[in-house]
Amino acid sequence: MKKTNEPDRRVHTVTWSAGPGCHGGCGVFIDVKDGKLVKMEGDPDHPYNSGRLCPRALTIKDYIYHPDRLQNPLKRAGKRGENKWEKISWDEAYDLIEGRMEDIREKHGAESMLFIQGTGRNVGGWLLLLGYSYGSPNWLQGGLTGNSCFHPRLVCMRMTQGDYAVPDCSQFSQDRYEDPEFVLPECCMIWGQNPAKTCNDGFNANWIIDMMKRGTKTVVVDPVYTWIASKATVWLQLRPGTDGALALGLLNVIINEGIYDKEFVEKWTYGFDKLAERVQEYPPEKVSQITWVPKEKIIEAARLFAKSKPASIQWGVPVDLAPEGALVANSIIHLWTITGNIDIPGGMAIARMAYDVPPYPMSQEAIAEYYGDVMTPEQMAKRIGIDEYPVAKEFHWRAQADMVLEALLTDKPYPLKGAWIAGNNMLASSANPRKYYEALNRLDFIVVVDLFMNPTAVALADVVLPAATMAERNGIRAWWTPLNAMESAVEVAGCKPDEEICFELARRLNPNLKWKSLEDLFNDFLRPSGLNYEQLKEKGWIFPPKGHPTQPYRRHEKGLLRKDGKPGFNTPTGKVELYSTHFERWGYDPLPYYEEPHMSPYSTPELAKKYPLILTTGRRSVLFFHSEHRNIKPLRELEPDPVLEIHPDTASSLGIEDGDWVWVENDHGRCKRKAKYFHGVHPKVVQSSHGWWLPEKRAEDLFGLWEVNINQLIPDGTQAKCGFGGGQYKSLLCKVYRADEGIEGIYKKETL
Amino acid sequence: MEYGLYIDYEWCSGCHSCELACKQEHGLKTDEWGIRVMERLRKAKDGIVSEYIPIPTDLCNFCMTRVMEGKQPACVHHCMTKCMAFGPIEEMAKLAAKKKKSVVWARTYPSRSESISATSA
Repeated sequence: MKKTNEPDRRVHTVTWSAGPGCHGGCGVFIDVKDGKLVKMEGDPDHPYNSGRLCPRALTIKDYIYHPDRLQNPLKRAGKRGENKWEKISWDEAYDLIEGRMEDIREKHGAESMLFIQGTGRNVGGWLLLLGYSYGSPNWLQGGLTGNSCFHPRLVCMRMTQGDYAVPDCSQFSQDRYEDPEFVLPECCMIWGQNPAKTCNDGFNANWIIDMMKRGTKTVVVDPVYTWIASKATVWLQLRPGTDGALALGLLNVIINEGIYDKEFVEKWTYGFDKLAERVQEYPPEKVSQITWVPKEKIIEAARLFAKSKPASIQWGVPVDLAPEGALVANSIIHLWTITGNIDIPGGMAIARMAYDVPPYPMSQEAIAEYYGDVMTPEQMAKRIGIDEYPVAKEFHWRAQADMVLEALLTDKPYPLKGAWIAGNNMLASSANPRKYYEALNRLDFIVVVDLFMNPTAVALADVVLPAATMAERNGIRAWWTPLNAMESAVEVAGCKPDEEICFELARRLNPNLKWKSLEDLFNDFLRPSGLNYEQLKEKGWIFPPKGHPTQPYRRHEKGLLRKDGKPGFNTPTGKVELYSTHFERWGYDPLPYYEEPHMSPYSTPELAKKYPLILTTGRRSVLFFHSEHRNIKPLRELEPDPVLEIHPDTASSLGIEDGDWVWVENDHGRCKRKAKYFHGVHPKVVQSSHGWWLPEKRAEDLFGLWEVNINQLIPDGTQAKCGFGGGQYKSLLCKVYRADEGIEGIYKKETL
Repeated sequence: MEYGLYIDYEWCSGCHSCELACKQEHGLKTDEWGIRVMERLRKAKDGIVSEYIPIPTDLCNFCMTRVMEGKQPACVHHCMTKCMAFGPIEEMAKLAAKKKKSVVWARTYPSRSESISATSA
């Protein structure tokens, strides 16, 4: 007897991109009835999430079938910002875009077209396909000062240890924690990351909590007393932005107390003596004064971490966003290096893409292999920012965001004419968004690809293309491990995945494109795995066998990391470089040092009199992914207002009651927030979430953007000296005062 | 048959997945919740922190259909920190007896044959 509510079919896929919005790869079952998604449920057998799902994944039905979802290509009918559009067909849209892009390429060169993505996800690879097929090397995460979202950490890991690494939480094995080879870390240092609220690229942060439940001790580095900090063995409440000093202080204690792994240091590192000499400048007393962390706590944390084996470090974006973020990243790499925790079970596993199947080509060699016909070395040399930043030239594959902003405003090194903006609500998310507004508005032609109308699309787009959610996409998800197939479960009329949109235009703009169809491309990328797309889809996901170079452990001993097959790391010295030969070659300081935030009570004491509170932004919510999800009712219901978390004592001294609307202000701008009394924040620090705009307000008013966008308080041009890191999102100065009124027309909760 | 929903609230991180899994499973309206995560402040080692505890409401039917199909209730299935469990009440009570910060919510289920006729009606 078939029940009436029984689905017609159940599709297995993984979450990546729109819907939950994140970089994760949770295995899911999608139940479909009459062609519509009725439910999405976590797959208990998938090793990435073992059944669990976050609120954003669990509300995907509201997202997919939202009445405001874009379902037609739109051509601008009025002026930019007027929100007047003409609905056009996909064929008309493709023809129009192809024509405009051909015209730009002919008159100004392909490099004058920017290809802008937001954060990771499966937009980036397809944007790259389109940008490179067209012939422009200017692919970037627009608005991101210092490329400061994982990229400083990524380039530093490659420069310093030759490979990427992630905390080993048994994620490289189907058997997970039961795998006999896996060892539970004795200690995990959680640095600027809140595993209870947010995950990293290809890393489900709940694994950290899994390990804590099994007995792993933790050191939590966070200015805020979060739930996870309350579970820590040692909590280090640092002043926002002083991560660099803290890392050097921890190195000082570990080196001076001789509690590092002498055998590993001797055999596998380069420049230890020079690092040991440098960290003498950072004794715990001095570091305590800089960071506000008591000296005893610094010593306690250093000893706990160094004496635990194995031990790992789970880090978050505040590392990149600290002043001179690349140096902070290097200091933290040094912490796991000198304690001998690289590529051992329960330590920092060298992370490669399973079977080396690329999510997209991520090196100069791979780009030449895949797109060499249009992306010649001469064309590649036009990538913006590589003349200023050798790190960008040699270790990165995108344009440098700050230099792109300069180019937009100055026409140097050459004028820019167009932009393709996919999945990046730049006016809500970039530093100094009003400057970006002015800069982007100088462009002749802007395509925005997104799922909902947003402030950036209204203000700047000439053409808007409606994209698809993860449930509407075929594809492959290759990021660390395992290797997954994505299978489309439903279609939403009028919407197309970035995969299809970019492929179609790539084909039109490069008649020699080597792939004839998307599946052809998937199969080509999947070659190293020995499976084609259909076969991978059949299996769902796969792990490479043990002993494969893309599987841990101890590959540096076995000669599995270097192309020449010799033991060691993939660096010029073959060792982990505590003293960076690359930085030395480029004329930078080869050793880490501490840099004070651009705005702080110490670097700008006069400014601090005017703006006495330290503002840290970007507080994560499990309900929202950056600027997304404010229109998803069940989620918004749980966090209806943009809040500012403020210590009750500080608030009382300013005459602010819990729940009052306030202005948060500095010389760069101001925005409104609802004050929330919060004991977990230092009395001299206030904290707020980011990415706010109000979809419930009028599009013509850019959805109330300028009333709530906290990034107006963030200056641009604060990138690190090497172009990677910095950005001031986490360590600003501000003042807070009561607002006369709240925000008109803001979402009102329905739940009593 | 008596079943229990066990919650180890030492590890409830307040992620709201139970609330939204429930909404999806039962198609609840915006202001309807089958389970609610309550937040309270408590003194911890280094200061005052939020502690969370999910409480089923009168809209909770313990996911009877799922349970009869041999599945976990939607909230237990999706809990991000895996701090919930579901099973015969004796087993859940034993878990709770060993754990300081824990609670068991209990309910009597109809027999299997009764429930199948109920859900297919």
